Amino acid sequence: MSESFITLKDTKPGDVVLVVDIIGNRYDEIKRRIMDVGILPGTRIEVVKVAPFGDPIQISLLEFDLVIRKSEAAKILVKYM
Amino acid sequence: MYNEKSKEIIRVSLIGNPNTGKTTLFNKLTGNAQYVGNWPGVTVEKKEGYIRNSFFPIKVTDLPGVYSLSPFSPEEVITRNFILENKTDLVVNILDATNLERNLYLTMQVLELGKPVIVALNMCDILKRRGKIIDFCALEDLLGTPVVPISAAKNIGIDELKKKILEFKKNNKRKIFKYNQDVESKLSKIKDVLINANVKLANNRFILVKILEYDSLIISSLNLKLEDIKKIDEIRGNQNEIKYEEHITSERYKKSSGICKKSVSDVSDIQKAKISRKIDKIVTGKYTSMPIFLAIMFIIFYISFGPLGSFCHDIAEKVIDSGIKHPVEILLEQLKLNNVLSSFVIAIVTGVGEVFAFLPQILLLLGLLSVLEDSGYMARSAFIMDKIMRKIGLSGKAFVPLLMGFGCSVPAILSTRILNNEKEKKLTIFLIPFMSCGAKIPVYLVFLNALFPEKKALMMFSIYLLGILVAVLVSFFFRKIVKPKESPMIMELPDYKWPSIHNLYLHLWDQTKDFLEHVGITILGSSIVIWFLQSFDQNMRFIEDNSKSLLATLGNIIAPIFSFSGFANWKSSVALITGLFAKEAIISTMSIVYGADGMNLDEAIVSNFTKSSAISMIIFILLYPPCVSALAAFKREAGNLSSLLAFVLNTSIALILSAVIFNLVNLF
Repeated sequence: MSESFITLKDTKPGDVVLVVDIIGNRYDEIKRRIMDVGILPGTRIEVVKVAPFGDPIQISLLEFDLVIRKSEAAKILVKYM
Repeated sequence: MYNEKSKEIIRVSLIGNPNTGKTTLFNKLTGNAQYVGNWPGVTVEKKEGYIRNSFFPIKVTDLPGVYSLSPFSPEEVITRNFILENKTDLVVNILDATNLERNLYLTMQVLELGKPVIVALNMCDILKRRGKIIDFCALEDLLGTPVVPISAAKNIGIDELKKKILEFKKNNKRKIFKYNQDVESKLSKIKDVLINANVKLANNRFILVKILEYDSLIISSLNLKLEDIKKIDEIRGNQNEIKYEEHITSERYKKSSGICKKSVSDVSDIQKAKISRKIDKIVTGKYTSMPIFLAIMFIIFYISFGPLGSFCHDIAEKVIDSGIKHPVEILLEQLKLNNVLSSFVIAIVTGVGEVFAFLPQILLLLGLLSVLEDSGYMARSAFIMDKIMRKIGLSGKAFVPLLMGFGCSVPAILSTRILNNEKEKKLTIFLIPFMSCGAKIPVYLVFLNALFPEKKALMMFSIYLLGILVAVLVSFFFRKIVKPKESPMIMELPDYKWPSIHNLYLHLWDQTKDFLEHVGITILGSSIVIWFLQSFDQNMRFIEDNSKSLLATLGNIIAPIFSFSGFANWKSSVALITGLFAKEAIISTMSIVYGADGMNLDEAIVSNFTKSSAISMIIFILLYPPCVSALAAFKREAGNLSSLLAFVLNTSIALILSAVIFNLVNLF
């Protein structure tokens, strides 16, 4: 299933995407952190910008802005709206 | 009724997401003065205070800010254990009203903890500007808890909240949010297992949910028998089929989102007024961010150490000279005291006075850093610097503790608790002492004023830069040995706001108090000891020539280790030793030992140091071990072995580099 979607890492500033899934098992700390801040299947994410040196990225979800590294963004499967 | 006093205390704890104004609310409730920052995770330890009222004492605990009550960060564990260990009667859950959905996710978990909850909706004053209206009554019904709209910063609704806290027992109804049927049936099965195993908290819904979420900390804390754990595993089933932890998280968010839809109406037709975004176009922009970052750092240095800083120092010096030193001297003459006593008083007044003259300049630097933090720029700097920081094995988040290290190592070391990776935390702690702290400023300036008056700002900049360079190298070798695993960085970017004057005042007052207490006492104490040691010889005779004193004997023992660094004399050695108690003591010691020769500090430095030996001494001071308070914080956060290692490491680096640079400067 993962082949048909892209990850958040592959998006560009200005893109608006829907979260499809988060990769990782139940003991995966990073996965839990991602979910705890509100990035869940169905969440709408707007990619705001990439940091000056290319990493991390700034995204907007719900009502707030979040900074997340590309390595974490690579765990978030998304599709375009 | 009122005999059992302990029963009359209501224990209230504040829980909320990071950066929702918890600490501000805490200060408003208790009249306390805790410093508040504008970046997530300022409250690393819990703080306590009391609400003053005429009925009964209310103890308030400010818990660290958390997004969730999962077991992944120390803050989350501190917070949930505090409630589970029954240390609170009432939870005040503070929510950012402008960011309700995400904040309610925590509320969903807080409600499961089984304690009465009052919801304080903060930042309600900003809602209108964002074009939002919250139906507070609807929210109250949906959550089943009292909801109080407040603005902690503007002091709105605080009295109403206090009233609600006082009458909390009447509002003791609680709503239970149900998960889907499958989850609920599993929860009740787990409950049966716990009841059979005689677990005390078997009725606590939070515990049951966490067990289903595979929370290993909770499970191991229950001390279950192996057979019971097996039963629970059976209930949870094959982990590849149903991921309960995902179900539960999504359900919580669905509930939060549902509550939001029913209670918040969006009356704005334009997109969110994102002023912060517009500012960020430039501040974190691709080509503009680095120049702005460097410019901000430079401006801070220029203000603190350039003309304005020097002016502040001169004024303070004059005030101390004419306000304290002169009157004391006149008084001593009038009193016609004996030699010993008057030399004692003059030595102490001079030594302590030298240090206090730097207080305004230190406050200037710390004030500027605090404004930077308050405005929201610190979090941006973490965003900008993350990539670079990772090159030296740290995350952008570690940037803030390191930056705080320029103020004082003690809070900087404590603030490393925001880092959730143990090795990264340790590495950051190791690096903090290389960030030249505020206490060293006066020491450098004493040397620079005497020998490099024209190049002060440039020299200061180079000193700081050298510290950073050494830190980078240390980090490089550290990673070669330890090979730490990279930790995630998921950080909220707070909105920009105007730095609050009140906050600035609190911060500076804190620093001043700290300076007076810690530094004042240490300086006074060490001044007395130094005066004593230099005024008496081995036979306890009072002497005029301090080169035969106890102090000289002591200093001469240590001095040889500085022979390659160019300051192998007993006076510098002794000053450096007192610097281990407080860096400022280096100055007071020097002014006492040189003062005995009838010279003021400026003249003494000019006649006792060459440019190269002064540079070498400055470098030694920059790199050698931090003061005892910082070492104590170090030990607390990183352990005995690490602090010992750091002590040896810092001493050796300081010795080697000061010797190398001394000889290099002499070559040219």
